[in-house]
Amino acid sequence: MATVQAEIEPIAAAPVRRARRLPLENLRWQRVVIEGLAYLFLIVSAILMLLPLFWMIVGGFKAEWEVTAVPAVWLPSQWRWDNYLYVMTQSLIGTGYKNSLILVTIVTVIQVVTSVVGGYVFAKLRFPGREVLFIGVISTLMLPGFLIQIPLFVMMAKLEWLNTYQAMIVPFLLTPFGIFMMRQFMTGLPTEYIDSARMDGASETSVIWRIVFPLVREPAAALAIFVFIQHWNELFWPLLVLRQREMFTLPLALFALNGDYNTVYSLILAGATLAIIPVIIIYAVLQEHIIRGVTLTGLKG
Amino acid sequence: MATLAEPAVARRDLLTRVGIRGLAAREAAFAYSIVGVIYLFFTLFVFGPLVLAFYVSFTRWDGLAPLAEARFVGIDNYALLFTSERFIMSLWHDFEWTYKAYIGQIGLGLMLALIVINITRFQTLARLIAFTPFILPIVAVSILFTILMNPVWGVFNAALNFVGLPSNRWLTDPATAMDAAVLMIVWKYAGYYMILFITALLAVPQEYYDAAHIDGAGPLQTFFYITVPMILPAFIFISVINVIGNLQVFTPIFVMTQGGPNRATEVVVLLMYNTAFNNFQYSVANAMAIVLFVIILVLTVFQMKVLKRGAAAEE
Repeated sequence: MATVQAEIEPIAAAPVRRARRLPLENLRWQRVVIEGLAYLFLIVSAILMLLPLFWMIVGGFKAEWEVTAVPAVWLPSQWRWDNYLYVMTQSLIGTGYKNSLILVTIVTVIQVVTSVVGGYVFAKLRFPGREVLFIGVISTLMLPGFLIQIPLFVMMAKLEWLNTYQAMIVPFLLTPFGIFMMRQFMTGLPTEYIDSARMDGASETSVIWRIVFPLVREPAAALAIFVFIQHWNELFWPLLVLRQREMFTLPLALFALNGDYNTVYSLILAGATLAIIPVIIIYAVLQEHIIRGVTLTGLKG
Repeated sequence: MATLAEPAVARRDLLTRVGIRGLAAREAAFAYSIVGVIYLFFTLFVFGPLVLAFYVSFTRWDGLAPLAEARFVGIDNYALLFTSERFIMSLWHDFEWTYKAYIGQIGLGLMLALIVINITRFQTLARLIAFTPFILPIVAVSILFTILMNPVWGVFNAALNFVGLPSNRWLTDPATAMDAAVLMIVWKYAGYYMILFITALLAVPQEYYDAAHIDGAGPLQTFFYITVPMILPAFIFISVINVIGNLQVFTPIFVMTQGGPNRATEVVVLLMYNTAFNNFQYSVANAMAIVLFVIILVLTVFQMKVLKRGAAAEE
């Protein structure tokens, strides 16, 4: 684990620099050709990355025959907003949307708070056994989800928590990853403010709220984005603990819709498009945070 | 305590001896209470389940009856697994998925990263586009690709026909189903690995490149003698997280093929899920989880060893 930790910091600390040129300045025409080919390759890649997305969003507006038409129909003859309205109000998607928004927001808020508090304790407080206890926490990072969640399901069943919100919230109140990430950031913060506040008689709770939180706003935001996206997209755990349709989260609702016997593809595409809207909005607004945070959260796999 | 002769020194001394120590005690007390809560939580939701999984894997239990009815059977479950052709097949499918996805994601990611850091314009746009598939819900993307890969009217076949190639059955043909599923995961993650590699590549000091340039090294020499050794530690780290993630594949397979056709894409976690929740051989599923965990652990340690040797060779 120590090795993993040592590897992350240099990556995360990498500054953003301007383009690095191949050493070809003495061969100008060669450089032009190579750059031309590079741009061509990137343009083709970009098209291949975006085309499926385009097809999904536009497909949501199509009539059913237009989705399955041969040869393919690229644009709908008529933009059917009704598809989206129908999916949101008449299918499981609406229920899933509501459940996902509630659950994911709660989990994100709580997990960020517990990660900041946990990270602060391990980064800034001095107490015997701190290092050993921290290693104990991060050692659980090694445990894959399936190994914990299959037995955890039985515990939920015994607690009679199946089909409840708490089964989706309580196991995720704090994570070793969040504590680890916040500790990494806080280790580098100056201790003076915290110490002087404490000397002035501030309680630990008020130190955390008034001094630590403002200092870690940026990494906490990055963590929040990742927790949100991760839980918004998660299928495995809700599949285990949520069996009643009115409790379904959005990924489960989409999956159920896809599995129905009389599948209507245009409606599925509309549902899938609706499912990506929150993450696209978050990404559009906060792309810089996300791309900067990705190397740290890369640990998550 | 504070005498008139040296009041300032004495007061500071007093604070140091009484005040700081009092604060330190308060600090430690607070820390232990938080750490206590953290450990209580992990005991309930991490260590507890882990112990349960381990214990149950040595019993026969359906997961529904009271735990007291779990009958101890020794290593029977493990013996069953290693004689079960279906489990061995699922392991092979896991490895097949992992090496194919690894080559696609890391190969394409590294290639894109090398290109993007060398272009002069549109770097930010390239990063923005490449990262988009990564953030999308995997269920939505899996469903989308199932539709794109429809053997009768799918757009992928239309594209193949357009360039003069015959149609493919994609996810519905046992011979191509795995590759088709991997295609989706490469599409989704190549840009993510690109971002990771860009960060690693930018951490290489520019002076090294300048020096190589002055010494007359060509682009290929520069790549193999400077870029490769310099990004090796980051590369191994990226490689480790890739393998850990890919060996746990579940959702794309569950959504796109349910392990079919003809079990051609049945990976371990999917078989685990079906064993526990459709066949109610809950204890067998836990044994599978432990076997897969050990495999992941061994491959991680193996890659870390390579990292150490690579770093040592560099010095």
